[in-house]
Amino acid sequence: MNKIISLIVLMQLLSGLALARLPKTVPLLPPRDSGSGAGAAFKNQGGLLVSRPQPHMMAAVQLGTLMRGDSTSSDVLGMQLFIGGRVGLSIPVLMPSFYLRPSIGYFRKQQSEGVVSVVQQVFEGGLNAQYSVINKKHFQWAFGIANRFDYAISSINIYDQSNGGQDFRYRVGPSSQLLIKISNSLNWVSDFEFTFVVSGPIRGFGGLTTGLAFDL
Amino acid sequence: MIKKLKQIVITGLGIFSCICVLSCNKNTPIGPVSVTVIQPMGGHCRYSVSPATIQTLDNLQEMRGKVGRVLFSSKDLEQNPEILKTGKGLQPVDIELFKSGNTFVPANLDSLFAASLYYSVELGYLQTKRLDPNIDLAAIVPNFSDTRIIHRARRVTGTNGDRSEISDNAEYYPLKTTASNGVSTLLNYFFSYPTVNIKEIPLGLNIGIMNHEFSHLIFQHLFYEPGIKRNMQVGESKPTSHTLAAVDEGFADYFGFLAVQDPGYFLCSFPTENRDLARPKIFTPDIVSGIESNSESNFDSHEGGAVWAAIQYEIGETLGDHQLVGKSLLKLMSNILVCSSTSSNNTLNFNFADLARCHLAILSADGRAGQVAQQVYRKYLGSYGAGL
Repeated sequence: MNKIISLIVLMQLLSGLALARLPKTVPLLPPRDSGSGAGAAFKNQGGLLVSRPQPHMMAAVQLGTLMRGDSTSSDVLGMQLFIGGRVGLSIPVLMPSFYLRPSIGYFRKQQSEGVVSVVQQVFEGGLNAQYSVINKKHFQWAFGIANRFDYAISSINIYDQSNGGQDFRYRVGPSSQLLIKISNSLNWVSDFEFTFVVSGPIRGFGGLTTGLAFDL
Repeated sequence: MIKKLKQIVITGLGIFSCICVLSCNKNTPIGPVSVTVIQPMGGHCRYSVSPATIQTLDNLQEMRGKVGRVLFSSKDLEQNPEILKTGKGLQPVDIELFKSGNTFVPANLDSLFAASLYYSVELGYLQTKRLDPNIDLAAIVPNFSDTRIIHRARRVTGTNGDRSEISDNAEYYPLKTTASNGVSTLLNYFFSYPTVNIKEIPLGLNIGIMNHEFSHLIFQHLFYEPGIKRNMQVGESKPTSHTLAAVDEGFADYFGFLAVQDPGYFLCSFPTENRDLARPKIFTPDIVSGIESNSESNFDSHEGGAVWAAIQYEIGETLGDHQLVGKSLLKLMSNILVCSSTSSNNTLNFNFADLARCHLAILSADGRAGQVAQQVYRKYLGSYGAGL
């Protein structure tokens, strides 16, 4: 129970931090003055809006790994690796640096010994809420909270016999996204996250996916 | 307005997380639970992936209950003997279970092994009690619930130049420890070693094999421990030690069969081994010579054991009642200490002929069983059968 409370406190802390980093005054685009080029208010921003990319929606395709914490046998650093990928959107909301990032993903892992195999598949729906702390023209670095809803299924197989089960789980935890612009409408994007299953025994999951994001 | 919206979104995410924490928490069930494992389904090496009721669990997530607990250590148990003596360094297997209806389904290979290992040991315990209700191992074996079933046990044996890690094997390992106050305790360990070369069913998932190992625990506590308490001696006029080692393996092969009802269960992991109980075997002069030699290099306890097990299988098949044979063998385990053919003046002195006599004395209570057993013993005991 203490772990759960710590987790909630951590989440709220991260939310608070993200909130604290938000600009106190929300910059609004000034009305353009056709006679004098950029408007007065625009000039007074000291180039701030010039260095920041205009927020716009993006679609991303990523490949990578979902890492499941396991204290008995691990592929790397106490984690079992599931291989798969995600597709998602990045939607600017409320202000230029705040994004909601819905996604769907699929990850898979197969283990075998002799004639016995166990296949695990994770179908994932997610919503990241992130605030961009570095927001340059060609580079963005955002932090926030990842929320993931998993439909996980496992299948035990021996010879021609098979049986399995499923589970729904909710994971939440801190996340980060790194975005590098590589052309006018194309971006290299990498996502990192560390989430916890808060239903049932607490288990840590890591996510590391990378791919391309297209401006829409 | 925007600030308010922003607060609503963040607060909403927080509240949603809290709701999930409170509503999605699952209670770990205690008592009989349905768990999917790999089970024999009749016929030779035929398996189903199906629900089994595990009846004695206290904690499903730790696979811990009346018959023991499934544990794991990443350390070499040979180089770190303190781990086995103290139990420190052993931890529960990290288990993840999904659901299918009311059945828990292991989500990965470690969870499947853990469930299967506990189920196998429980099956051995319940089978023994079913065969002879007077034999409740939970009452006979001190600290039975502290039995430690080690998943993926790591033991590197040998000296510097010839070190190798034990794999593709399983073992019952009784470990006597003495506390500082001089009180001795016997710890019961089962090791399921890592699978490396086995192409068929891994030993830890072969319920017959694990029940073979469980039979060693039964023999330990029905024969060895009471014998040690009585300070029984082992005579040298007959090959008692080798016979004991071989009959221990023979009992184990037969009780493994009783658990899965497949006389060839051994071959499901080792297809080329001569361990099919349904293939009649005889105490050949070579096997007898190995048993009677003073050298360990000429003796393989599994060889003589396989003959003994095949004899018991044939008796059970002829009678059409393997339960009767199983019950008589449980009785034989403890009667070896008191039978006139195997023990006198607090000294054990016997060979397989003497064991057969002791067994026949038990079966003679059922006239037909005694006659059938006598015929089978005469047929397969080889030179040991003379005068039986």
